[in-house]
Order: sequence, then C-alpha cells, then structure tokens
Amino acid sequence: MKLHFKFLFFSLLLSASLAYADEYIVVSGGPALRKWERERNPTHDVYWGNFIKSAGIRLQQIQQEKGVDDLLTWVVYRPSYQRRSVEEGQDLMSQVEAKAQELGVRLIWFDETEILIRYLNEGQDRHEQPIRSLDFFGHSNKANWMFDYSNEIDACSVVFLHTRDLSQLKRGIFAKGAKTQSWGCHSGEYYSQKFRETTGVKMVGAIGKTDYSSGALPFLSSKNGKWTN
Amino acid sequence: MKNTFLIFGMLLFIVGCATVPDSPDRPDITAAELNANPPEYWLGQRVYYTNLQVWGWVKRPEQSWDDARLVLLKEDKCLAPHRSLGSRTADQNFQYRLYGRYWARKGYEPMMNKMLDVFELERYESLGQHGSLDLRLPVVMIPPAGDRSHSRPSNDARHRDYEDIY
Repeated sequence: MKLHFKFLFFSLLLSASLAYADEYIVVSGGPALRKWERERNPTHDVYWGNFIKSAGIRLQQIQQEKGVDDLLTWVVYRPSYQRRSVEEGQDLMSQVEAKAQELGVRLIWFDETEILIRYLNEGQDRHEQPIRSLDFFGHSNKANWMFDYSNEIDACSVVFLHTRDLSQLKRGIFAKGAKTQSWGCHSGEYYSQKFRETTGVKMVGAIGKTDYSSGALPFLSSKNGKWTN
Repeated sequence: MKNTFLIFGMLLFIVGCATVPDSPDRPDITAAELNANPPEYWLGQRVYYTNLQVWGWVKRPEQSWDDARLVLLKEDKCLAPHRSLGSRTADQNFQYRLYGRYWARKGYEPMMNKMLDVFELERYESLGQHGSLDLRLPVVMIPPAGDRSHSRPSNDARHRDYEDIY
C-alpha cells in the first residue's frame, strides 16, 4: 500500500514537471509607405518600425512574466516591410530578425491572413499548448485589423483580419483566463466585442485612437479615449 | 389533391429560388470576369469623396455610367493623375481614358468598411472635365462629421452592416 502511495506521489510529481506549457503570441502588422502618407495630415508611420518597437517592448514584458517552458512567438506581416525596405533603401526584414534574436523570441513571418489563422489554430497542439496571451500591434479600425495598410494601395488594405472572418478561429485555442489586447485604433468600439463573441475570450481594445510615436507602448490619443475592460 | 398542392407549392418555391437576378454588383464577380474581352481602353471619372480613398468610377466605353464600378487605384505602374496636380480634388469630375486592368485582388476601404475592385493603372489620357455623375455610394461605416453626401447606417443596422463588406 505504501508503495502505491509512493508511486502515486512520484507520478503526480512527474506530471507536474511535464505540465503543458502555454504560448504567448504577439502579432505585428506592417507600415504604410511614405509615398502615400507624406501629404496626409495626420500622417502615418513616419518611422517604419512603429509596430516593431512597440511589439518589442511587449515581448520584453512577457519574457519577465512567462513561465520557463512557455513559448513566446512573434508573428510579423512581411510584405509591407519588403515594400517599405525598397522605399527606405535598407533591409528592414534583417533588422526585424535581429530584434527577434536580441529578444530571444521565435519569429514567424506571414504573407496572408490564412497563414496567421492557421498558426493560431494549429501552430501548436492547442490542447497541450493553448494561447495564454495575444497582442496585436498595427493599423485597425473598429471592424478590422489591417496587416497591410496604405502600402499596396493608398490608405486601403488588401491583407487583414476582419470581424466577419473571426469565426475561422477555433474555439478552445485559448487558455482559460487568456489575455488579449489590440493596441490599434478603435478596436474597443466593436472588434473586442466580436472577438469575445466568437472566441469566448475578452479582448482589451481602444475606444478612440492610439499613438505609437512615443517609442513606448501605444497610448490613447483621442479626447475621452479609453481602454475597454 | 392535397399532395398536388404540396408539389405545386414546392415547384413554385424552387422556381422562385432560381430567379435571383444576376446583378452586376454581385459580390463574387472576379477581376478575370471584369477583364474578359478587354476593351482598348476604359473610361474613368475621377470623383473625390470627403475622407474616402476611392479613386472614382470606371466602365467600358460602351457601358452606361449606371454600370460603372467604384474603384480603388493600384499605382505601382502609373500614379493617379491628381498626384501631379497638387491636390486630391484638382481633377474632380475629370474623365480619362484609362489603360490597364482590374487587379486580381479586391481592396478594403476602411472608412466605408467595404471591399472594392482595384484598377491597376498603366497610363491615362485626360478627356477634360465633365458633369457630376451623382452615382450612389454604398453605406459608409464612418461618415465624415457634418458631411451629408454619404448615406448613414441606422443604429439598428449598424453592427449587421459591419459584417457586410461585399
């Protein structure tokens, strides 16, 4: 009997040490092209790395809070950086890759929304490795995350995750109590509610606009702006 | 007799389902379909709408303006005419012969919250100013403050409209 208890104790200890890790995911959209934005007021993305620098700060925060075995993944929309690289005359992708290496995080590039959705749904076995947190840095309006914005086409988007497509995210991919936040403009006015409806997970979003120009995490820039709970 | 009515009713239902008009604005119309039998040139009219990013309306020369399509412009090969004129409104209601084709992807206009056709411009010839077309825009998600030129969604319909981007 005593032996059985010992066996049970060691089994529990072993299963605790093999406890499933979670995944933390940060998504960065791409910058606009200056040739479209230069004449606009307000203008977007004077600095190409708005969604890289802010994501980097969040990734550092997560590094401090995540468990040793938890995965930390940075998913970045590539085509906008490729096109902005041509405009800037410098290789921005290698700068993003260097940043990921410096932060010690896994970097995954994506070119189409389907690739991002597939990663969220089944990039890991979500029973064993659910998503503990999801952060989005990029252009958005109340109904859409625009990974491409004012890049392929002046002030429009060709690659995005619209609320109407959120149903493609499988229920159950998030860990219980998962935290999600959209750092883009206006997400709290509709996107957050729709995200919760379709995934069952709360998403913090902004009522009003957000501003990335401080070089820190984006701040609310509209009068009466606030983050949703 | 009862069965005859039932069958007749079912037939009516099936025929009714099959008579949905084939609207030119049907959402699944592809660039390949739009580009089929390409004309020598397209006719375009530049219309600037406050805060919207659309370029204007495009049609085949033989079509009526009622059949024109509201387009975004892909400017990798050729910049829009207004770029060299100093302002977005400089060529308001100008007509152009447009050379190019519809791009394979549709584009999302964020103020309208709509997917629109994208015309890939290769070159153009100005035909000068014409009168206003007065064509109806789809419902706009974010109407510019104080602007009455766009139709607004009702409060009840607003969230349903957000999902309807085609």
